[in-house]
Amino acid sequence: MSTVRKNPILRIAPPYDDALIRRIEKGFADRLGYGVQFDVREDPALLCGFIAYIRGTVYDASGKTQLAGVSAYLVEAMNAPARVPEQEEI
Amino acid sequence: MTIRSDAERAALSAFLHEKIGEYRFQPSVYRYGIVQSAKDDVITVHALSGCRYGEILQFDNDVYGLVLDLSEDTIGAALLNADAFVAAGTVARGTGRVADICVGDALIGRVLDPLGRPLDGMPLSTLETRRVESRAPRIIDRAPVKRPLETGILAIDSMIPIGRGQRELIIGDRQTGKTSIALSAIRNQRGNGVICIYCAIGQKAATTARIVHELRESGDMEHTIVVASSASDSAAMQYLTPFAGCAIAEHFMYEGRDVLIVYDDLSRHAVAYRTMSLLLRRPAGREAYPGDIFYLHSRLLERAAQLSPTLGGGSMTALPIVETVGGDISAYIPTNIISITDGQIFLSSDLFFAGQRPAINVGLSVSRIGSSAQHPAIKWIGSRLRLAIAQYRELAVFSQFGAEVDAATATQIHRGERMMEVLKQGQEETLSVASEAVLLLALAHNVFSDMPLSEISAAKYALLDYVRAACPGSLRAIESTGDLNPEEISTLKKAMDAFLEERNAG
Repeated sequence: MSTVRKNPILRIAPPYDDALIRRIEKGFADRLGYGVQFDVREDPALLCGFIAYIRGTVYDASGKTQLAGVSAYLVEAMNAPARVPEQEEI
Repeated sequence: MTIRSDAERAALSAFLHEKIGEYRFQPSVYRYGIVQSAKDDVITVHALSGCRYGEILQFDNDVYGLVLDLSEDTIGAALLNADAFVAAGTVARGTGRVADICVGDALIGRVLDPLGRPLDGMPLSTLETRRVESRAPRIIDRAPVKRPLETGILAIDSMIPIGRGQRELIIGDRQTGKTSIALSAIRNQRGNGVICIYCAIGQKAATTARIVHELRESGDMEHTIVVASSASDSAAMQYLTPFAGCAIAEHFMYEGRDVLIVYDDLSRHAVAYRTMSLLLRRPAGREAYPGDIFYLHSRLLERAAQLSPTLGGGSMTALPIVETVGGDISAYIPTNIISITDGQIFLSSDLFFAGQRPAINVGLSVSRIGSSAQHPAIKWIGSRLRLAIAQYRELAVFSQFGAEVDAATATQIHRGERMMEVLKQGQEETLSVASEAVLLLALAHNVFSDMPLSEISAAKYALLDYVRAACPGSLRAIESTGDLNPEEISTLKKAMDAFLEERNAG
């Protein structure tokens, strides 16, 4: 039997509506095995997407974090030493 | 990178498109906790599970902390950014990364903070990192200390010799020349392959800047790395400084190289640790230091070692510095560190103000393992010098009161005064092994016996110049073998006699 945990927080970038929140809640309930009801906080700084805080775990699906990830990935790719073409076997 | 043509721009654009296409967008999932309280630089985080001791925590706005206390519901962490602001209710996350620092040859000649960020305004790129806290080499990994580490200071190399892999404490009141001795030892490693690391712990930024400037001016930054935290840095940064320096040194040691590391100073390090511990509400012990203050320093200093040949035979020689108050070496931190190290060089204020530089008190200084690493040339003559100076110091106390002394005692005092004069050395002046052997032989040969005290300093250098010109072969032999054979002793004594004759004739 699933139990509802109190005070999970959802920071979400606008625009959003109740239907979207319900869909996110259902997605988490299916994944975690218990129902969640978010205390919703609008956060335009996320650019898009959301960050959910549930029972000590952060689920960060925000555009801001994804962009930071892409940025770090590109910097790493730019700094990686150029690949030397393998010598053809004779 | 400068883009010069449309072709380059197109290539870069294609590269970025390709890489962005390769990037897998997925949500980031991690554990978090909530900041409960913030006292100075110490933060209490509630309900952050799965964190390890020593892990780096990340707060909002790229503020980082170091986990130092784990309890049932809360985690105590020290902030690493001194100017950072962390409010109660802020989210904290574990990075899964234990504190580490960049290591490698690229650091040589650089000035860093304990997190590996350059402080000298130049970019730094290194690929390798090493954990700041790591285990000391095991007994089986170690080899006996048998190779000397010359400091270039006659009094130390002759009477309190230091071996590679040894831990020798430099202890004394403020302004007695502790840092100068450490810097002389660093200077003397130029050209002999020893990498030097100077850890400035909670020092005035101006002092560290002056030391770096001096090392740069003399060309000694070529083999030196400075790891510095200033007095305005957080207690956590000051706490991390010697461990970061030690991790850098370990990297070189495990590569089979020789390293000299100076911790300047561990008294300030203990104070920084006490600050953190009190804020973390750990039980206070003697002088309000926490119970693990001994373990703090023993686990740091135990990482200095001479590794066995199977591990490359590298070494890490540690010169921790401790400041005493009123010459009291029986205070808590000094006694702790004296018991951890393999000997101590005690600097006395009385000697310093009497003009004896370096102000080494031979009676209270000792090197427990260094004599087996001493060059035979110096060991042979130096062993008697220590006893002679100790006797002189005892007799000198009596003569201060104007007591009448017999002829033998007067001679001993007369000789002792000349010995002390020969042992005087300038702040930036280091001597080679051969020069030290020549001066010790000159003392044993009574070259300075009939000279007035005021002339000895000049005569000492004149003698060295004379011997260098008269018997260069003998000096080269001492430099290469570290030993003195009877023929060379005879040649050198003849040169010294000739020097005295010329001097008396002139």
